[in-house]
Amino acid sequence: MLGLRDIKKQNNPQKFDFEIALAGNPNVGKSTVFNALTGLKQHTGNWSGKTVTNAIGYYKFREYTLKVVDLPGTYSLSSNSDEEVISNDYIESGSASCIIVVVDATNLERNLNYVLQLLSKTQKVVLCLNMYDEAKSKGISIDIDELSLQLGVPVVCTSATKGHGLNELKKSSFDIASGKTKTYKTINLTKSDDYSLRIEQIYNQCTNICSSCIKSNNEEHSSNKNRIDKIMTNKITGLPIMLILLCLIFWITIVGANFISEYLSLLFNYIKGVLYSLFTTFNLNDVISDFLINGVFTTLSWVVAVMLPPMAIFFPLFSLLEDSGYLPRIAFNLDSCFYKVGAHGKQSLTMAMGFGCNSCGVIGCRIIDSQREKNIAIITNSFIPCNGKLPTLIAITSILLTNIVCGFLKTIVTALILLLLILLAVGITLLTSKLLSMTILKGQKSSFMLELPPYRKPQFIKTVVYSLKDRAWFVLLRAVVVAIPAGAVIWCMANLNINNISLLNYATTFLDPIGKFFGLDGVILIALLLGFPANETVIPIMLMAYSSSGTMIEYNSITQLNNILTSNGWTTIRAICFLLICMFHFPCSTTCLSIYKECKSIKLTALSMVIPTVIGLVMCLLVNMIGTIFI
Amino acid sequence: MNSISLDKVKFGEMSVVTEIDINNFRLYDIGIVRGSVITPLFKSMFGDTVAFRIKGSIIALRKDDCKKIKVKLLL
Repeated sequence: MLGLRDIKKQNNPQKFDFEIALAGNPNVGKSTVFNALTGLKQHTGNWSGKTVTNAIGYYKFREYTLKVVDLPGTYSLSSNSDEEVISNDYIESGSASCIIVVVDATNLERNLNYVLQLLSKTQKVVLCLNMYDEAKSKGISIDIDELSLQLGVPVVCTSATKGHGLNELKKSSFDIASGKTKTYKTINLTKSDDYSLRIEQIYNQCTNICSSCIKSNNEEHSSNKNRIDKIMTNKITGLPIMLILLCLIFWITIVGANFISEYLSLLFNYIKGVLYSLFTTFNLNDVISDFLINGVFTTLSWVVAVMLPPMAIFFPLFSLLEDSGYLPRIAFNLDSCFYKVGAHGKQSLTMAMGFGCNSCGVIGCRIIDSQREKNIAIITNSFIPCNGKLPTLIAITSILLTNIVCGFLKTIVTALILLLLILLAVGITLLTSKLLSMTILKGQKSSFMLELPPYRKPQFIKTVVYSLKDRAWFVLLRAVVVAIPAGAVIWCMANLNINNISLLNYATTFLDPIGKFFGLDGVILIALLLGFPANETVIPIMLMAYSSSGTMIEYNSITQLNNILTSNGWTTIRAICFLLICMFHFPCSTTCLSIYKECKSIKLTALSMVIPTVIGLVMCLLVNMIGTIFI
Repeated sequence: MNSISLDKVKFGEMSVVTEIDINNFRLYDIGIVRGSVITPLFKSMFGDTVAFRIKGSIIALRKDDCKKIKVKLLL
């Protein structure tokens, strides 16, 4: 029972009086209830030994402190998946003094399957009938007292997004936890070896309970919502809407991030100046000062300035899209493409997440149930360029277009080329998925099942705030853990000299012939290798190597970058090859670590690094060969 | 009354599940068990995936899987 040990031994063990758990189906508003109860006093992590998210928070009721554990949302409490095993173990351990089972009032019959399974294991339960307002507006009327009688537990109606019913929920759960309210066992489930038979009989009981508790059920209202879905998923309007929405999100991310990045860069430059004068005042050794400022701090500031703004924009937008209920429709629409290559429709979503950050995309692959299809999604995730690679791609594309277009037209053409590159990435992803399905990851195609929750208006401010908090923490952590050692190594390579030539120079000269073979050069290769910790540092490393300056420098304009590159032998072909190898090479260190954590296989992690690199090199070789023949 | 496979049911027509030839626990958990009422609602862009109403919620299934579920039309 590893999961339990993890909860009992926390980093900051806060004292609490009672432990409460939140359980229920996915898409019932469990997270909303959790957030409403605990506010920002929560901590998200993983269940020990498993790759399932676990959230723990605290709230106060009168003078008591209650600890809330958010169990994974599952449709059942058998032991068919990691999530179910965790929930089961936890419930049977008796750690919780009260379990709040959150139920979607608009969908009571299906939710009762979970509730009845829960009630057969423990009676210390409060039924939280969430989305109650929504049910009422749909004409669904539930007899609360009758439901409570039949289940033997208290029932509290809530509308967590509006904040209704939370106080009653706190009181009810406290009463159960403290023993003030007693519940009684009313549910008996038959034990059968045939799983389908067992669930069938549970559903028979659910139907009976519902027929005596649900007074009226207006089905006509739902046909209006179906109309929206018919527009979102039909042949003519479905694809354009999807493309426009995704392009819009990408565009807002790129433009907004650019804007914020510039200001962050100014801030970091200012801090750099302050550090410089500080070190000079304290007479710190020149070499150490240079190491700290130009090595460590510069890398740190690059990583934060480049990664934080796009992630701060993209992921909140993505979360809003998720809360609105639209995301499953994307998987629904695109499933055919993925099914034909042996993958899963949900891979479209993990690819979209990979655009924000490859590491997050890899972790997001948890939404795919079949291990084989999950592995395909994980290995191909890094084909989609992440936010860290975007400034690099945009800068080099801009340079390629320098003598061809200019001004406003240039920004449009740059955007179109970027779109083309992303479409190329998608194409390569599908092709690679097909190849993997036919060779290394051969296996059965899973049966697909996806719930399409009703469209709901997301809680804008709350979603954005929670997402920002998570993302900012992630980037800053990565900046410290990855950027600092990376900066140290890069500085050493550039400033440690043997016979007056830096290690960096030795490396670039050594790799140059190999680079030239693929249409690149030694500097590009070393920049990609040293950029393994963080892709954002590739161009600064290149500039450092070209200018032999010993420090990573930024470019102040595209013209300046263009000059440096052309004076170092860059041609159109090399720029194109660079774009290709930048997109198709081994993922960054954070992503590789995530890949290992998610599939626990060195073989798969190695494949995830080798496959993109091989594809990139092959493409470069082809472009180089074709280019040298025709130009 | 004869059973037909789920992929042959027209949109908006309600039917009752009589036989399931797929061994996926999640299908049972979501409510696709013998005796459940199921109604096709709409299909995806490329037509290979269909959304159904089951027990008050909307669940999407692939056409290939639908061929393995037998139902009886509710008239």
